[in-house]
Amino acid sequence: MRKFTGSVLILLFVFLSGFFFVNDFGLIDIQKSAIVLGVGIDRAGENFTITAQLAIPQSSDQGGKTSSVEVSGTGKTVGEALTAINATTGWYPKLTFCNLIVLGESLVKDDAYAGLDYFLRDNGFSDNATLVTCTTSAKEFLSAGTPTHDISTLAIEKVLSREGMLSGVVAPVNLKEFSIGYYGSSRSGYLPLAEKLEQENGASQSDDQLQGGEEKTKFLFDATKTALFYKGKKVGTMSPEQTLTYNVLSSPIRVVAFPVEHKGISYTLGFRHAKPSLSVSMREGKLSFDVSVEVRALMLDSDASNSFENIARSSEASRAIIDSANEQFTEKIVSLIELSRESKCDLFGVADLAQKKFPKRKLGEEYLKEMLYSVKVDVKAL
Amino acid sequence: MQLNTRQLSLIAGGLFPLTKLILLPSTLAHYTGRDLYLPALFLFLLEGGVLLSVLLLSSKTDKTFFELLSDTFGRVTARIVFGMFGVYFLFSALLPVYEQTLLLRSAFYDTIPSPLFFAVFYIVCIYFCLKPLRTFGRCADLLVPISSVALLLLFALSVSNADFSALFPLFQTPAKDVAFTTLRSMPRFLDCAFPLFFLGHFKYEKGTTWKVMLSFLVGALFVLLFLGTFYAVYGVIAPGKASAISKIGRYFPGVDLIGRIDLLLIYLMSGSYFLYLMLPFWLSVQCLKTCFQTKDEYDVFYAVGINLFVFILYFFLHYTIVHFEKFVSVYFFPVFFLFSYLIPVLAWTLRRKHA
Amino acid sequence: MKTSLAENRTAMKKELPSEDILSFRFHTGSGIECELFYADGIVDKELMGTLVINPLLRYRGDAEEKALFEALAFPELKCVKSEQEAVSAILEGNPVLFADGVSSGFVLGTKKVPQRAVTEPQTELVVKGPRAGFIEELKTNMGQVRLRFKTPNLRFETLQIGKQSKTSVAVCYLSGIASKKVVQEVKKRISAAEIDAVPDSSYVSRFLCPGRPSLFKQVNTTEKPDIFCARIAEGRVGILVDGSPVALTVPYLIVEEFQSPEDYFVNPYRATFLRLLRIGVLLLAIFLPALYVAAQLFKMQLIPLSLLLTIASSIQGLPLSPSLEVFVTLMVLEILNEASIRMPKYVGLALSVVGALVLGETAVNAGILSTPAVILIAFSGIGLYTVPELIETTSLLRLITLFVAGSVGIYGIVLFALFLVIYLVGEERYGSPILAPFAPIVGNDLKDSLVKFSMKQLKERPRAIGSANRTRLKEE
Repeated sequence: MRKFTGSVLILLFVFLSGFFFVNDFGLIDIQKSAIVLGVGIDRAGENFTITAQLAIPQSSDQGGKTSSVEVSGTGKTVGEALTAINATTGWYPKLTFCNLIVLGESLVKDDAYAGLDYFLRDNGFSDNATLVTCTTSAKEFLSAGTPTHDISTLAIEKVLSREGMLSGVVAPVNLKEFSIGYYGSSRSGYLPLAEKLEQENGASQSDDQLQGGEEKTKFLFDATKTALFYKGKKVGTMSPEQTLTYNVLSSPIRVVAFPVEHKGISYTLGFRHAKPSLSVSMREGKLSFDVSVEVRALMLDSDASNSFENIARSSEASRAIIDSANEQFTEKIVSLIELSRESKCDLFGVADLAQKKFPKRKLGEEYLKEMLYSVKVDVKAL
Repeated sequence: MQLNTRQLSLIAGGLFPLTKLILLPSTLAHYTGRDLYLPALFLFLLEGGVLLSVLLLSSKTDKTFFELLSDTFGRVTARIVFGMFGVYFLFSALLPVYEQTLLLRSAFYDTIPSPLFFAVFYIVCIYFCLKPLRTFGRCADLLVPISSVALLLLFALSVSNADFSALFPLFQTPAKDVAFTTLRSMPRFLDCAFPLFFLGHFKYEKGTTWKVMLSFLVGALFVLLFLGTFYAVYGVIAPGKASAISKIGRYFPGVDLIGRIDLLLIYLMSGSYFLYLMLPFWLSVQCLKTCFQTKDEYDVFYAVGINLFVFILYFFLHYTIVHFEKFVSVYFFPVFFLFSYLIPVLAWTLRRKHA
Repeated sequence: MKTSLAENRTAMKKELPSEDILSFRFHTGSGIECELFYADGIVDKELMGTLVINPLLRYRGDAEEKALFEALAFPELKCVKSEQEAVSAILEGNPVLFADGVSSGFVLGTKKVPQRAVTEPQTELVVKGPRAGFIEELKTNMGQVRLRFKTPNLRFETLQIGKQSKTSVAVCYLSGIASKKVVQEVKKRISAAEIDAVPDSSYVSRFLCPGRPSLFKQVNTTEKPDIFCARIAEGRVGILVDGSPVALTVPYLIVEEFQSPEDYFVNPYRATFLRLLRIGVLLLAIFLPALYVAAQLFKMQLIPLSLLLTIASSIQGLPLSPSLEVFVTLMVLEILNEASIRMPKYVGLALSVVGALVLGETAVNAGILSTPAVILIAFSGIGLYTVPELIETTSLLRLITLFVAGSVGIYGIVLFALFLVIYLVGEERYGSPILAPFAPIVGNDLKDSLVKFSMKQLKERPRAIGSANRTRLKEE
C-alpha cells in the first residue's frame, strides 16, 4: 500500500489543481458578486418591488472611491424580485453585507412580514440588519442623495447607529429583534420611521456634480419618530419626545436631552443613569402594568441667559425645574402607554412580563385596554 | 498504552460537547421551546451514568472489550458483536457528518458549496482511520485547549446580546413533549459508547474516574449554558436558527467594525469538531478489522470503503439533511439506545479478572 | 607491512598511484634509509621537517621500531602494522614514515588542512550572545565543544561514513545525561549507512532518520557551538561531521525552532513575547495568503466591508482570478528569493531594483496584480523568516495551503491543518514525539516552550527527550 502513496498524492494534487485553476463549481466570487449594501421593499398590489443599493467599487485609475447604484426588480415574491435583479445586471446580489432594510410605506400598510420573512430564512443574510420604515416608497428613499456620505445606505445606518440610541434620539431595531416581537406572544414591534429633510442650500455640492450641470437635491435623514406595529401592520407613530421617553425606559442611554418647560422658559435637561423598572402585578383582580424609573438629570441649557454661577453649577438643576421635569416625564410615559393601548402595539412587552409572572393566566385579546397601569417617576439632580 | 487520563478528560470535556452545538439547539427549541435544556440535561445524565459505568469497569480490568467478550462468549461471538458495532458506528456517524453541512453553509461558504468539496473531509478521514488510537489522544491534547478557548470566547461574544429572561417561566413544557424530545435527540448523545472501545488501551490510574467525570460534567454544563444562551439570544425564532454555533456570536457590537471575528473562532473550534466526527469512522474500521481478523495492511480497504460509502450516500441526501435527521431520530433511537447505552452497561456482566 | 623499505615503497605506490601522493627519501644519521609518504596540500611540511626529518637526521641508533619511536618523540605519533592503515592515514592527511628494516610504519600527526577562521555563521545571527561558529574542520569543532564542557562526561565517539570519502563523524554526548538507547541507535544508524561520499552533514541526517522523507525536519541543525552544547546539556546527542560546519542534534522537537539563543540572555517576559510573536507571525505568514484568497472566493464576510470595498476597487479589471493572482505573486517572490541567493553580488543591487520596482509597482500600475496581494505576499515573505530554520517547510506549506484554499476554501484550510496535526502527532524520532510538549502534553516542558520561564524555574531537563538525568538545576 505504501508504494501507492506517491500515486495517491499525485492524484490528489491533480484533483485540487482542477478546482484551483478551473474554479467554477457553482462559485460566486468577489468578481461576480454585487455587494448589496441596503435593500428597500415596496409593495404594489400582489407584487413586491425590491430596490437594492449596490456598491460599485471604482478601480484606482477612476479615483478608487466606492460609488453606488440602485437597481430594482419586481416579482410576486421577494426572492423572485431579487432574481430579476440578477437577470438584469448579470451580477449575483450578495446579501451578506446588507445591513439595512427599508420598508416602504406601501408594505407596512398590511403585513410587513410578507416581505421580511425572505430575509429571516437561512440564506446567508444577516439578521443583524437594521430595519427602518419611511414615509415614501423605499425606492425613493434609497435613491436620495445625502451630503453626509456618498452612499445613502451608509448615511442612514449612521443615523440609526448605537450612538443615536445612546443619545435617545432614535430607537433602532434589527431584524432579529423585530422578528422576536412579531412571532412572540405580543405580536408587536416598532421600527424607526425615517423622513427625508431637504437641505436648505446646496453650498456643499461637490465639483463633479456642478460640472455636470445637474444639481442633485441632497437630503438629511430624520429618524426620531418611531412607527408602531401590530401583527406586522403599522398601527401608530411615536413622536420624537415619545421616542426619547421610550429609550430612557427600555434602552441603555448615555445622555438623553429631555426638554422641560418651566414658567415659560424652555430648559434642556440631560438624563443620565436611568434605572427603569417595568413589571406587572395583579390589582383589583386585573392585570396592572407598573412603570417606575429613577433618573439623574443635569442642566444642559435654557433659552434664557444665565448667570455665571448657574453655568458653573451645571449639574444642579433647581428643585422647581426638577419637579417640572418629573411631571412632564410622567406625562410622556402616560402618553406612551395610552398610545400603546390605542394602537394594540404592546410596546413594553406586557404580554411577556405577564406570561413570566403569571404563566397560568391567559391574556385576552384586549389585555392592553383592560389592564391598569401605574407610573412612578423620580428625577433627581445629578 | 495509547491514551492517558488527561487525554480521556480532554476528550470527555472538550470533544463530546461539539456535536451538540449545530442542529440540536434549534431542534430542541422547536419541540420544547424555552425548556430546551431539559432533554439535554436528561441525556447528559444518562450518558454520564454510562460513562461512569465504563470507567469503573476499566478500574476492575485491563482487558479490552474484545477480550472480555471472547472470554465470556467465545471468539466467534465476540467477532460478530464487533462486526455489528462496526456497522453501528458507521451508521451513527452519518448524522453528525451530514450535519456539518449546515455549519459549512453558514460559517465557511457564502453560497451552498458543491458536494464535491466534501471529498476533502473523507480524504483526511481515510488518513486518520489508518492511524493508531494514540494519534487521536495526542490530537486531543493539541486541539482541545484551542477549541475550548475559542468556544469560551464565542460564548462571551454572545452573552452581551442575550436576554435570559426569555427562558422564564421554567418548566412550562408538557412532560410528554420533553420525553419525546429526549428520545428524539439521542442520536447526538452517543459518545458514551466510545470509551468502551478504549478499554485496555489506557492505563487506569488513581483519580481517573473523577477526573474524566469532572471534565464530562464541565462539558455538559457548557452545552446546557450554551442552549440557554442560544434561546436567550433568539427567543421565539430559535427553531429557525440551524447551525447555532455559527450565528450566536454575530451580534457582538465589534463584529461590524473589525469583521467577523466570530467566524475565526469557529474555524479554530472546527478543527476539533472535524476530528471528533472522524472518530466513529476510526472505530468502525477497528471493529471491522477485528471482526474479519485481517492484518494491518488491509485497514486501508476498510477505511476507503467506509468513507466512499458515506460520501456517495451524501450525494443522495445533501438536500434533505433535515428530513434525514428527523427520520433517523424518530425511528432508530432503540438502536442507539441498545448499542450506546445498554451494551456498555451490560459489559459489567462480562467475565473479567481483577486489574 | 614488510621489513624492506623497497617492498613497502612498491606497495604504497601501488595502493596510492595518484600524483598528489608524494614521497621524500632521506637517510638517518646512522645511514638507515627512510621514506616519508604524504598527500600534497594537506600536510604541514614545516612541521614535518622540524619534528620528523631533523631529529632523524641526527639519529645514530639502529633500525628498531621502539628506538625510532622514542627518537621522534612526536605528540601524535602511532605505529601501524598494515598497509590499509598506512593508506588510510596518508589519505587523511597524516604522513607515514617507513624505515628500512622496520616492519611497521609511523603515522605522524602533521595534518594541516586549509581552514577558515571561526566566525559568526551568517544563518544564525544574534544581537546578544556568543558569535563563534563551527567550521569545516572536525577537530576544531570538537575543540569548541570541549572548551564548553570541561567534564570527563563529555564523550566523543568517532565513526567513519562513506566508502570513498571515509568522512569522519563524531558522535558527541554527555554520559549520564544522554539516553544510552539514543546514543546506541545513532551509532548504529551511522554505521549502517552505505554511501560513497558524504560531502555534508545533511547526508548523515538522512541516515539518522530512515524511512520516508518528510516535509518537516527530522534532525535539528546548528552552526553555533553554544547552541549545540545547550542541546547536548538537555540530554540530546550531537553529531559533528568532518567537512561540514553544520552540526546535527537528535532527538528533534518542533518547539526548538521557536526558541532562540537570545531568549536565554534576555528577561523571560521579553523572551515569551518574542516566542509568541514568532509563532503568531509564522502562522499568519503561512495562512494569510490562503485566507485572503478563500475570503474573496468563498466567504467575503471575513473581510470588513470597508476593507472589502478597497480590495474590490483594487482588483477591478484584473485579468486574473484572486487565486491565480496570489499564486503568481507568490511565484514571483519565490523566484526573487532563489535568484537573490544565487546571483553574484555585483548584480544583486540592480536586480533587487528590478524585483522591487518592476515586478512590484509596475505590475500593479499595469493592472496585472493588485496592491493588497503584493502587500500580503511581501508580509508573508518577511514573516516566514522569523523562523528561518523552517523556511523550507513553511514556504511549501504556504503554497499547498494556497492551493487548498483556492480549491475548497476555508474548509480546506481547516482540514489541511487537521491533516498536518494528525501527521505530526504521530511522528516520533528516537522515542520523542516531535510535537512534544504540546502533543502529548508534557507539563514540565511547557515551561520552556512557547512561554519562557525564568532560569531558576527550569530545574529539570525536557522530559520529552528522555534524558537519563532529569535535574539540571538544584534548588537553593
